[in-house]
Order: sequence, then structure tokens, then C-alpha cells
Amino acid sequence: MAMKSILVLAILFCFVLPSRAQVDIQLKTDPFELGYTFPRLNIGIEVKGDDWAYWSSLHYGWEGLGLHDKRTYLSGPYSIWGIHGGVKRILTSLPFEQSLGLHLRFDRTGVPLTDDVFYQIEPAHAVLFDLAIYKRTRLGAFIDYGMEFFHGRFCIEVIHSFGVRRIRKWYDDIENPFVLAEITPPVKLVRTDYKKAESVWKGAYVYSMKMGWRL
Amino acid sequence: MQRKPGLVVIVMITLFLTIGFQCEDGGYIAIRGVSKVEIFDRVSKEVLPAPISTTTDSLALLISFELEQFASNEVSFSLMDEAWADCPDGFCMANEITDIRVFCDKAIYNLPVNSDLAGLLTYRVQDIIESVALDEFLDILPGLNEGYYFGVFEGFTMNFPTKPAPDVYIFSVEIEDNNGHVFTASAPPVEWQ
Repeated sequence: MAMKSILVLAILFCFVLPSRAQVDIQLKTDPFELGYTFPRLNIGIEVKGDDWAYWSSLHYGWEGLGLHDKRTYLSGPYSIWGIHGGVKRILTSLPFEQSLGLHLRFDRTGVPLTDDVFYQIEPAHAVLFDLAIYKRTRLGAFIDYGMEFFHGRFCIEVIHSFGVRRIRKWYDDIENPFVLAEITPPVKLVRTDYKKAESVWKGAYVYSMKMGWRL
Repeated sequence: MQRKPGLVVIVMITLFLTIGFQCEDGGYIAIRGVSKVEIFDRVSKEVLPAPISTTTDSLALLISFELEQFASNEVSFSLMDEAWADCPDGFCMANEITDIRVFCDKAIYNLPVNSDLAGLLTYRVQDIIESVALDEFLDILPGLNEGYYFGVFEGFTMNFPTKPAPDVYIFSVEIEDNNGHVFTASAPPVEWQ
């Protein structure tokens, strides 16, 4: 599925490829997310002109990417997929390339969890369950500041992105739910933020690293 | 192009706000069920093993609970464990006992079969609550502080007022919480001679 999507993406990019443009195949990751709950890797294409570029990438995540090993709450393999796309204006090219850009991103997560709890924020209650499918969608818009370094055909870019996200988290297919009223999350949940079932707007910062190969 | 220091400041502040790890203290404990109902002799302070045949008039039902702790998180980094200062120190109860019902498979104390006996019994928690009536017991429970409340779940007794007519009795218990969950369990048969 992911490979087919990449192929379609590549074809679409080729159709709109200007004659003077360069094309990079890129591998991208958000390093902070590797330490969080549901890490992912991106693969995509960037089309670059003299002082502009547009790009898109697909991402996919799996458990093996995580830096920590305490995932006892997972009952099976999980799937994360998403798509990012953006444009950027290249400000300077020497000694390294700096750019400002905009991008949109959407991702979806589905994870089976066992013997856990989630907190329905509105109305406030907790639900203990034997098995449930955690689902999350995130739609975000970001402003990017990137610094790209070249060595021959190889390039590496670090990108700081600031923006907002609409995050929706919910649980489906709950087995043996045990509902407790008037319960709120007792502590700040960071790596276990998935336990809150809610829809929120959030400000976000994303630090990304991209490695690319010019075709 | 000269790099703007403002950008670096924004990045650092955002990083600081983004990174944090949950400490492991605090959380909730929920009553998930009645784990067992045993026949207890208040004089000898012993649980009577099955098969139970007795002449004593000091019997009680000893109730133990099945509890589930949640909300504290097993995932933790050693770095910044103390980053969140607002973790509660102890545990909070996520549900409360709001009603207790006791039934017998035989007519007992001039009540027909399957009548609720709970109002006839007295309730006691070792070193915490002396024998009190049901209404008073239910009033006292939510006000107990944490340590005492957990004592309740280690076992409280429902004391029979007198020895009933000789027969073999099976008692069952229903305990309801404030969320409408009803936890049920039965005691082993007791032959009262």
C-alpha cells in the first residue's frame, strides 16, 4: 500500500515537473517522536527550482522504530500512516541553504491496546477495558524554517516547524468496559497522552531531519 | 544571511515546553469486584474452612474486594522524573460503595427466601469501625481517609445478630458502587446446628 502510494506520488510530481527542476528522494524523521509513543518514518519526493521547492512525503510507523521498550500495553502490531506536503522559498544557498516554507500534514493512528484505561474528557469519566482500539487523527498546518547541507548528490536538512494541529483521539471496539464517572486524568500525560479521548487544537513544534538523494 | 537570535529563543522555549515525562506517583484505585466472601468467627477471629458446620452464634461474612490500580504509568525516564510537581502523592478511590445487599437461600430471621438481610446485620472494620448499622456504615465509608479506606478492602465483616434456626444456609452478597456497578459473590454453605 505504502509503495503504491509513493509510486503514485512520484508520477504526479513528474507530471508537474518543470524542465529546470531537480528532484530529491528524501527520507525524513521527527527525532523526538522516536522517543514518544508512536514513531514513524517518512519517505517522499522534493522538487526544487532556483529559489523555491515543493515536496510531499508519506509516513509509516511501526513498533520497532521506538527507542523505549515498555510497550506492554500493545496487544498487536499497530499502523500509523500519514501524508505531508508543502512549499518553501529558498532564501540563501551559501554556505548552506536556508528556506522558509509552509506545509500541511495529516496522519492517522490505529493501535490495539489491552488492560488499560482511557479518560473521556467531556464528560469526565474513565473507562477501564480489556481490549480497545485507540484511534487518532491529526491535521496540522506549519511554518517551516529549514537548513540544508549538500555533499554531492547527498543532502541533509534540519527543519524547525511551528504550527497548529487539530487532534482527535477516540477509542473503538471496547471490550468489557468499566465506566467510572467524574474521573479526570490525575497527572499530566505526555507519553501516555493517548489515554485522553478528546478533540483539541494544539500549538505544536516539530523538529525534523531529512536525508535526500538528488536524482 | 545573519541568523536571528529570536528564532533560537523560540526554539529553546518550545523544546522546553514540549519535553517532559510523567512521574509515577499518584493515580486511582477502582473496586472491580468482590473477590471472596468467607465465613468468619468473630470470637476465635478465624475464617472457617469448608465444609462449615458450627454451633456458634458469633458468625459473620468476611468480604474481600478485587481492586484495580490505574493511571500511574509504567513508562518513565530517569531524567526529568520530577518534572511535574503536581502529581498527587497517594491514590484516590475512583468509585465508592453506596449500597450493600445480602440474600439467603433459606427463610431466615422470619424473612422469606431471598429477602435482603443487609439491614439486620452490623458492619465492622478491624480497628477502624466498630459494629454499626448499614446506613451508618455507608455514611462513614466515603469520609475515611486513604489508609483507613484501604483497610476496608482488606476485609470488613457483616455480623449476624443471632444464631438462626438450624439448617444449611448459603449467603450471597451484592455490593453496588456510585456508578451503578453491582458486584456479587456467594459464601460457602454453612451448616448452623
